[in-house]
Amino acid sequence: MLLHTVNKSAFDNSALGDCLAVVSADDAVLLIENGVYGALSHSQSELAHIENIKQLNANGTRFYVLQADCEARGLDSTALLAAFKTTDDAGFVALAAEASAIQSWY
Amino acid sequence: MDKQATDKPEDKDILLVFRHSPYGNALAREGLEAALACGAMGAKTSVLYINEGVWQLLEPQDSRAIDCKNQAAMASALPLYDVDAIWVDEDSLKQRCLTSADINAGKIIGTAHVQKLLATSKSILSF
Repeated sequence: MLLHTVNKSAFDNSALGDCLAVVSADDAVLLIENGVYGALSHSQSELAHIENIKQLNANGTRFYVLQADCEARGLDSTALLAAFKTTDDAGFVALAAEASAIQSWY
Repeated sequence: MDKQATDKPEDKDILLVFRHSPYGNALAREGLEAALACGAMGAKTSVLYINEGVWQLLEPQDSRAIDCKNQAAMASALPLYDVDAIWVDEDSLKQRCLTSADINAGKIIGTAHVQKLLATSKSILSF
């Protein structure tokens, strides 16, 4: 299992799309820093890759956002796609420990 | 740029363009500090939120856990420094599926108004 971290907004950077293009079913994707904007469920922009995330999640890929980064930016957990689970620094470390390697998209 | 402009801040017409999201780097904070400084000096100051900058207007922001100053709280000081001309680009909101109900300040304007704002400002500071 690989852990993919994305720290750039999906609205001004291709990092999230580039990540989703290669992610596997047993991988985990963690959105951090400005990456958390990519978890918003209401954005209909194609930049947001919503359908892609739903499909990957249905196939087994796990999706997470860092709670502190959402709170800082005024993103309520109810505004996020259902595919995303919120996690904290301890959860980040646990995912990193579980992963065979970490791919950072930035 | 108008070469006739004097050195007196009150004669300057300054537009600050905020194009980046509130955290992740220091641009948004530095832009706000510059805007407050311009206002405090008595310059005629306008602020334009565009592109990723519109994320700065979301509330409530609670940045304690990431050890950053609360940007929304800082931005709320703009009117106290006589920075009352706060503009928000409509297309940038639409692209992010945000509406006037999601943002805490500013007047929403279309592309034509944005172009006019840029064209009529004597100085533009971009953040």
